[in-house]
Amino acid sequence: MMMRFTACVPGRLDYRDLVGRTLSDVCRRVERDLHCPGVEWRVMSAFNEAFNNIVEHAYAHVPGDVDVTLTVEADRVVLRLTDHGQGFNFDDSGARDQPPEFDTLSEGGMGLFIIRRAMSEVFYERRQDRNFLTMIRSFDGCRETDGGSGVRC
Amino acid sequence: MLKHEIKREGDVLVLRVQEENLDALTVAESRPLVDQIVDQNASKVVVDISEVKTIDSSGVAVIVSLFKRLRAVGGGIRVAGLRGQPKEIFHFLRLDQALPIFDSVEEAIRSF
Repeated sequence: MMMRFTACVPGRLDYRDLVGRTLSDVCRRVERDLHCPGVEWRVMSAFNEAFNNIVEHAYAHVPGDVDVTLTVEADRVVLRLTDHGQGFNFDDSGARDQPPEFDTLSEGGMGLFIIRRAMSEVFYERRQDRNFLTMIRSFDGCRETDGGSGVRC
Repeated sequence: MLKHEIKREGDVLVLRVQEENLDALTVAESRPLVDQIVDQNASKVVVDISEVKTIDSSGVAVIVSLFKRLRAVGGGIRVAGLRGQPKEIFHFLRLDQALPIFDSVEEAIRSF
């Protein structure tokens, strides 16, 4: 199975849900076709947190667009969000292996932690005034039972 | 404003969240709701999220905020109806160890 979904939407929360509905449908199809439970809620949890961060932080002062790409490969789903807003230090932004301490929980810290836990690998890069957040969910232990869509992108 | 219902069961106040998504969109301006609950001098509160299918860090923050506000005035909170994605997120954040969680509202009320 190979499938790619791309969208460019305004960095507003109502557009998060617009794109999210399609991403959710794609991930449910992956779960069904690959007998791989847990992909949808993991990818959607990461997507929602990443989009929230862009709206609330990257575009806190100047609005902009968000590019969303979801690629379904043979053994993983790759979700990438790109924006033109303010950058941030991913390593110092609560994206730790341990959950934030309860008494100091902050939404930002929680969001990045959820992304890290929900996905198999996460990479952040700032290049040419753009932020690229790439989140990968591997299909460990899952198997494809049919030919999928047959599309090769 | 978050769709919700507040009712009293004896000395327990039950906040039933009537949203499928408890997230950045639905919890916008939820602070007045937290204020309203705290202002009612409720020391025992059950948050029923059995209708919630998806939660994000903004939704979690509202529950944690309510917990901290009530704790500061000697009150307590119980979370009921946690399942699916919200249950996984609570587990990620270890909130299932920090907050008392129950399968049903009835069990949560009895636990006070």
